Amino acid sequence: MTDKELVLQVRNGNQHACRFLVAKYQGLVNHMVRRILLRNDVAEDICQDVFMKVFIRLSAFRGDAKLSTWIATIAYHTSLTELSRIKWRKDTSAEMLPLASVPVSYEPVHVFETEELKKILLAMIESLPVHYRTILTLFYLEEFSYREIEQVTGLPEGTVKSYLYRARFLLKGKLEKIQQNERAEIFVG
Amino acid sequence: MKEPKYLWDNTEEGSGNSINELLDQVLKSDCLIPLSDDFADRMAAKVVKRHILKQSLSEFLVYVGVILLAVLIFCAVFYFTSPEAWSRWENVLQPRWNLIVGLAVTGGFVFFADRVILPWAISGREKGSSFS
Repeated sequence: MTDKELVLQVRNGNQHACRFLVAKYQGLVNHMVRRILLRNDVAEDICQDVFMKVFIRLSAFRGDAKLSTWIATIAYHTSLTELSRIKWRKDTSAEMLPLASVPVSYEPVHVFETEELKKILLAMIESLPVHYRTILTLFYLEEFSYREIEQVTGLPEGTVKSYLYRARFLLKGKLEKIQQNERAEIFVG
Repeated sequence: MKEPKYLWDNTEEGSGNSINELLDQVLKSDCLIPLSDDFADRMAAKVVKRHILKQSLSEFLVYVGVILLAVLIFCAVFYFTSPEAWSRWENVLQPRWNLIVGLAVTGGFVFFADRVILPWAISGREKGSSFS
């Protein structure tokens, strides 16, 4: 079923189409919300808000952009609004993502196993600024093009490319530091 | 002693490539906590309920509008065609205005419950139904 057919079915009031739409795009919305907010306690509620907005505004969907881009735009703006609300409240008692609790400072001896390093890398991604995190998620995880990321975030294509390069550069730099520590460990050992 | 397993090629030439590969691997992997299994079902049910409420509320408002318009037209025609009969009825109804308002409000609530509250309450129980 194409996106146009799906939208038509949902507009006609087909409950199965509603369920199908949510199932198809819940991964995208979940990734965006969690990567932007970095909070598990509110993520599911925000995902619900996003989908409610999607259904309410579906009549305004003209089909100029892909449905995934349109939904990602709603998820992006909803998450940013919630993020600023959270910052305003300064709610420090919130439960953070378990991955974010992994210390970015590490001991080289702990970096032997792939899973351990993946956790450290994910914590590094979460320590990046929100725009970098969003762009990395859209580009690598959701495989959006530069043009689509531009439509979602409203950032010019050049800025998107530059943020993507800088985010990768930062992560690579941090990884190289781990590698150097590991080499030193071999040398000492 | 167990030999430590290093994740990348520790030679200078191989390290750049292995870091890039590792980065790609992590960036493309879905390590985030997924939504609950029944998320799509709950979301669809919520949307259906909301749609039914919106639809039945607008239907109710149309019905109320039509009924009020009909009453208004009837009163206007009655008032202009036979003013004597109108004043007779006015004398009968005016002392009982609280009874009439009470009946109208009760009737309106029963109608509202039948057209809006009941379909909305039942909609959550009917699984797999279309809401068109």
